[in-house]
Amino acid sequence: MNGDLQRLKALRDQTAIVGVGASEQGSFPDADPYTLAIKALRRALDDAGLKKEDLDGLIVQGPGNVSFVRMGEMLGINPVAGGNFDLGGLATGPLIQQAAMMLHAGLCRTVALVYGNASRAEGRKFGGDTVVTPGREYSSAFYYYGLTSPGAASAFQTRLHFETYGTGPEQLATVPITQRQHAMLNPDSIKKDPLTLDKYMNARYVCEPLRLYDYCLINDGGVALIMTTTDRARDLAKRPILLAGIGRQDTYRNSSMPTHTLWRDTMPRAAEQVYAMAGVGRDDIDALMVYDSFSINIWLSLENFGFCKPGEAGDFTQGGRIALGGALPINTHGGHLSDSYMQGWLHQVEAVRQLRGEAGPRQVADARHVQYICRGNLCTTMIYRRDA
Amino acid sequence: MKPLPTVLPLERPYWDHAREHRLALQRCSACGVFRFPASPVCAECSSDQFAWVPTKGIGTLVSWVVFHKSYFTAFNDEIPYNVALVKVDEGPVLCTNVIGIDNDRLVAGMRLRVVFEDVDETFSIPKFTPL
Repeated sequence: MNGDLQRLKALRDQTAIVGVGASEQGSFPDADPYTLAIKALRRALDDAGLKKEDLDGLIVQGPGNVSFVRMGEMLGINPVAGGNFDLGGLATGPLIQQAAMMLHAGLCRTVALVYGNASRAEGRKFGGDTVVTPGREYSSAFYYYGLTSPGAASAFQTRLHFETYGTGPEQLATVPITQRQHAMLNPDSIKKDPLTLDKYMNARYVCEPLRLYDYCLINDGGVALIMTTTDRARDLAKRPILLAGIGRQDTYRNSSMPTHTLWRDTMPRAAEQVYAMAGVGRDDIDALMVYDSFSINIWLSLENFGFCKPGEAGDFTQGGRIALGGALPINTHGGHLSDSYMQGWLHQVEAVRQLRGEAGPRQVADARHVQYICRGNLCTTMIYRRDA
Repeated sequence: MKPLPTVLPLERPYWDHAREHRLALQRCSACGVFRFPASPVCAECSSDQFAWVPTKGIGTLVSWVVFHKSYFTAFNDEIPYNVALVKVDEGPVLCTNVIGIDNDRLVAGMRLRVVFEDVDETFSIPKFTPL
């Protein structure tokens, strides 16, 4: 079941991103998430031509224990709406959707979404824990088998795809290679050395069939977005980037084993909702920003959102189609694989920059609609469009 | 020493059966559907009536990965090792290791049967091997 489309359509184009900002991205041994997030927020406020005093909504996120309350104290903000969601890295979409609802419902007027990630400085491993967290997932018996890490879950799906459709690593390599090419055009990205098929194939396996370059980076950085209602946005410094459509479809039934499906029954429902709400179709999308903790996420997003048929993403992504200049450029900033691992937040920044025409050498010509897709098990999607 | 399971109250019977070398899963008393991991209610019909029922311990390999990076020191000597998802004939999918076969000979759809590894006086851990 989708959301209530009649009501959702009333939300179409009613809220906008008016400011984006990011701290430096990389490895900063003394970093903490608050400092990084606040630096990003200052830049986002400057970008929007707003002051801290203009903010009355606050949303906070990070992979660590970033406190909404402490962030408010540090910033000296007493918000009237906001919070944090304990949904992990995939919370980006849900939080932006929450911000849109807060604005549209009148709970606040201008909301800052601030994200701080000091994973590298904090030595976060994304695997190897031995403490069970039954409230979050069933995992107690996994460790004896040596099962751990988010990458393993994607590796199971990659194997399933390879086995089911006869796809293979030479095809999957196109995703990280293309995104590296994009990162080389992005002055802010972390990885700028060229990636070739040989280098990809000769890299070590981490969790086979996934190799090193199928994995996202782990680094430090901060990102911030400022959102307000579209009527207010039109009085601000830059062209508003409107939130045209939102979609979400979680997958929890039979989900606590590492994924043994490719989310065929669930992800398409998020697609159905977002296109219906935004009033545009796949052919209208000028660039895709896809949550890429692992390269296989791109394939599953393309297939489950109907850009190609199930099993066809290996072929579909060849021949430059997903590269800048191709029919459907993906992660034009380099994504998590080569730009920076900001858990989807820099994907939103890139969408805004593309739609404003601020992307410099990696600009998608005349970009009007950019879509964000985050795969299951917590699938969210947004379609942004530039204001007329 | 490999990290042993932390036994949650809901899944205590699973480990008690495993200790006796039985692979038992919860079966809904109302609709008959097997489920795993343990839950107080059936996700299909919402009934809270269930029994722990031994399975035949036979299943099919759905997907598998091979770890080349060691996240746990206890696995340093086993790299590269497989972790597999096995769909037992009763329905649920289990996480396990497939033993008694080289990693490069694993294929999707192969038939497997459960074997138990006696770890200590408390735990016997179900693993799978080619049928």
